[in-house]
Amino acid sequence: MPIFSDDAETFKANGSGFQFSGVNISKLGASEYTLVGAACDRSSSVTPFASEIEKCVIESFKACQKSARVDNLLARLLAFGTEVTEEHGFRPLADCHLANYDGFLKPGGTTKLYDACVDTVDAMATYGKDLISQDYTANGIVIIITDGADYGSRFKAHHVKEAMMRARQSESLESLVSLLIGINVKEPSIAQYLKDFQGEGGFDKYVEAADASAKTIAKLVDFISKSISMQSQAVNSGGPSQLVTF
Amino acid sequence: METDYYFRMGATHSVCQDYAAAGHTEERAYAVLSDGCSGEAKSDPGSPHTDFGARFLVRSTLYHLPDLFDGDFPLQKVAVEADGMIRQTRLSRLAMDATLLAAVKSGRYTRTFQIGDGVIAGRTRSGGIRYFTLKFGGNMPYYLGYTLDERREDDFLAKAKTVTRTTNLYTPGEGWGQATEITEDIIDFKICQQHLFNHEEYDVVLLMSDGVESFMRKGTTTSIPLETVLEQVCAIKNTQGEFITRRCNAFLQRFCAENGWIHNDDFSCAGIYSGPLVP
Repeated sequence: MPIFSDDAETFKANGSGFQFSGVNISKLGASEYTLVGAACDRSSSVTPFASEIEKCVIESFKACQKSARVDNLLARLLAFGTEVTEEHGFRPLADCHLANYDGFLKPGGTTKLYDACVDTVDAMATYGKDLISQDYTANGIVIIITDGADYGSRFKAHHVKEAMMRARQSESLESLVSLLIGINVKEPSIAQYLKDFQGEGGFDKYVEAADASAKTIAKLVDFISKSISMQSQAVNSGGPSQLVTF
Repeated sequence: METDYYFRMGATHSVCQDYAAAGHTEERAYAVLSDGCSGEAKSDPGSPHTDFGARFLVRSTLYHLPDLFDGDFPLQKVAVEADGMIRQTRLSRLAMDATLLAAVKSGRYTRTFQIGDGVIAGRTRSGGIRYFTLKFGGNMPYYLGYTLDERREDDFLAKAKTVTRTTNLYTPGEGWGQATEITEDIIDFKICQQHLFNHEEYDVVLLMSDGVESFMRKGTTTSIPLETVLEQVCAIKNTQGEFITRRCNAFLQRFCAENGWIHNDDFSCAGIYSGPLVP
């Protein structure tokens, strides 16, 4: 069940052709928006710390809801395991009732990491293009949280990079910042895999959290919320925000 | 119903001397705009600190909105109020050398008031555009501050001599008609010009400073005709919330950048979307 069942419209993403939803653009009152696309791993391996990942999303969004830019943020949340599921489409962050996020991950299955990344980026680029065609200014930030390697995707790592390039070259978004977050990465082989995927997938930054302790989650929350805030402040500047240090 | 406003500094300015404000309730809406004379603060005899004057005139008008909703622009009250603000900040009264435009929507009409130059445009529900402009002789617009200074008002009347009113209509599928220009002696001219826009015919009414007439192609002295600029400014795609900010941003930052247009003078726009027609 999606987190929100509202009157969002259905869109078809350019490039990959994924379907996604978003609030009707004619109902948006601000002049500029930052699109936040977050995708969280729900494969069976995250079971021990699924609630920490949820907390990371909830606390990051909560921090953004307190920001002066809250009316200029639209968030979309995906979870990926054996399937990629849209928990909610692009909707004003101010309207995201975070209590509804508790237990959204429900771990189990494989890791369609690449599919989730392509879905996140293509949907953002498509929605961004629609916004810009209606005179809005829009930029975006992609946040992918995973603990391991892809398994079962129909797309490959290079398709993620191509989606990033499509988003940047098609004037869909003024700028795009993409963050890959490895969580509870204990095995060196996974660490190396994710580092490699940063380059192959065209991510701007890879940050690695060796565990999912309260301290680490707090640090991640700070990193994610600051990254969103910085990108939001950069909208209408013509370029992306500076990357935040983890 | 929605209201919004926008102002940006011109290419040849070092401070933006335009200012605007707008707001609405469920029943009523207002938009006010002022364009300070382009004088540098240290220049003599230019008009210094008109960025302050423009803001004070707008603020002062906001204090007297009930009069505007009653169909009357209280020239003297607004001028005296603004003059008080000028004195509080120990600026010269010359800071009040700023034009003033206002629009109020109540019931079936949006009424506009204009003191000085600038452009008023209404977008028809069928996609047409009707505009009105005022041009003063010697490019010396009337300023409200003159009502407080008989000597300056006499000087203005002696130098400006004439005022020309221009109006034109854009009809979708037909384009612009022939502009109608009426020039009259400044002595016969009413300081505050009013227009009424019927809500059934017009969905958007915009006030613009004369910066809208300052667009040029970069690197040339070729002016862009007002009609061409208005087609862009009035091409509002979505009337929700910050509808003027979105249109002006897209126009200035994308269209003008792509087409090599620049605006030398400050550019400002404020307006009212009166909402859909209710049967």
